[in-house]
Amino acid sequence: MAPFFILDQVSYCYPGSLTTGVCQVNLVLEPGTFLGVLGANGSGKSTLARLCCGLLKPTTGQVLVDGYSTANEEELRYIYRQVGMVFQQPDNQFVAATVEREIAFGVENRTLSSEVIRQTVGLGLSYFGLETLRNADPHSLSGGEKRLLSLADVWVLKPKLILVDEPLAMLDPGAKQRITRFWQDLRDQGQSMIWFTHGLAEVLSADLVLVMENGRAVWTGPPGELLAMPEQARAWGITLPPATEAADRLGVKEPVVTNEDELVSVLWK
Amino acid sequence: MRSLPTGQYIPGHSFLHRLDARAKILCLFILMAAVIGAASLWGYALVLVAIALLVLLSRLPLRSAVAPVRGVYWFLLVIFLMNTLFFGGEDVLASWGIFQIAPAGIKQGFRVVGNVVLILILGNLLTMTTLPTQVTTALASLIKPLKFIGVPTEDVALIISIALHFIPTFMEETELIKMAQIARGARFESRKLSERAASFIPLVVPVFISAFRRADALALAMEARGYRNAKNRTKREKAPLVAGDYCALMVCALICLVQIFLRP
Repeated sequence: MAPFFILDQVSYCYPGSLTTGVCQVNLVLEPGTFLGVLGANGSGKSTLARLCCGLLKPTTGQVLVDGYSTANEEELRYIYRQVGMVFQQPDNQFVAATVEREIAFGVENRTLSSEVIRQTVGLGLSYFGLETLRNADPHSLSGGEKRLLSLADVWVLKPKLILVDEPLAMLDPGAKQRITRFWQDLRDQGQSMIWFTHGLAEVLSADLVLVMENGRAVWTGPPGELLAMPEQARAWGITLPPATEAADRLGVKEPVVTNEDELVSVLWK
Repeated sequence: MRSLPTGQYIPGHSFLHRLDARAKILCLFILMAAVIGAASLWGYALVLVAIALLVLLSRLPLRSAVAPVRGVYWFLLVIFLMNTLFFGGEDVLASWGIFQIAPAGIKQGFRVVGNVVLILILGNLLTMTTLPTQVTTALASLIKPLKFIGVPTEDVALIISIALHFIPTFMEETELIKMAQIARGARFESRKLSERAASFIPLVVPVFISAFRRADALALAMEARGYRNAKNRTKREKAPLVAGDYCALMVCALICLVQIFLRP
């Protein structure tokens, strides 16, 4: 399959800053790929996410979506339709006063007919189980519900690629499980996705992982390989899955442990 | 005992709750004109009866309906004194320098205080029977004619909606910042006015920074979801006004007309 998303020597320098936010990052994605972008706070993950969806324009290099460049103002409208972004803080992205109107906001920007908008919003509400909250104020929802709503906001737009910035941060275990299930469903449907996080456990099922450090892409490979080098992962500021961390502290090097069951089984042997 | 809510929406199914928000806002303006235009005892009796009827139709407790008046006693006293002392007129009863007490001034004081009280009750009835979202949607709809004189009404409507929507969020955030500063020894309850004013400066800065950060994040999120300007969006279909809404508007217009005839 032909790549539909390309980062070509992308660099970005914040105005007035001496250091580069992102430095010469290269990436080629085929449709259906799940990419995890890992790194410590301040490593350039969020800047890269904004570059990927066209909210920031590269200082040098180019971001291409289906051959369209984010640097071209006229092509941005097309890119916004192809790339959806779920931001880290749901509270900061809510525009409307009710859940229903919040989901409708993005669809209304596409000047579709009222009937299509009604159907699409209805679909979003039912898929994410938000029907009973349709008239609720988005800011009054629980943390988990806010995340679901921010995901629904983007899901109804049916983008080819979804970018997700730390989607499980500050959630309780129950909410995390609920949200993860929706993400897994999307993955099963072949949704292309780039997941920005510092926790390796969140992207264990990714096809590929890219590690960022000081704005540079320092390592690319399958997540399994990163699990096998815990010392280096820690040095990059990546949080290892708790079971992997425990196994490493106990001196278990082989086989690589990813969850509690595997750890128990290894220890039992 | 919990204090009665002022201006906060109280869910219900009364006639006033069921009226379209656009009709309610228009009725509010017409009745405000009737209140301001009242110039005789009969005129005031008319608007007083109309407001009493509205309170009955809203099925709200009388104490809730008049709650905002209780919070502004001092304000009412000040405007009464200002009108009484500065209005002047014939048959001066007493005078001290520039201050003069005359029957016309006292009458004017009562008149202005009466107007403020009645308008406060009317506004309160609107907000207690209408959801804030309905108010903003109705406002957006009502300002539409301004489009013909070049006002970007869709953008204005969106700005009003977002601004109103973020008020509770900012209040909550301000409270959190205040708590955090109290926990670190800040004092907001000082008896000295100067000390109290000074203590709020460290509160204002973080609140403003937070507001700008939020505005920036919101702008990015809107752009990422394809927002360019409010013009290039699908317009929401508005439910048409029904017979009850037209009746309410006609009755209010009638009250206003009668008020004109009652003017001496």
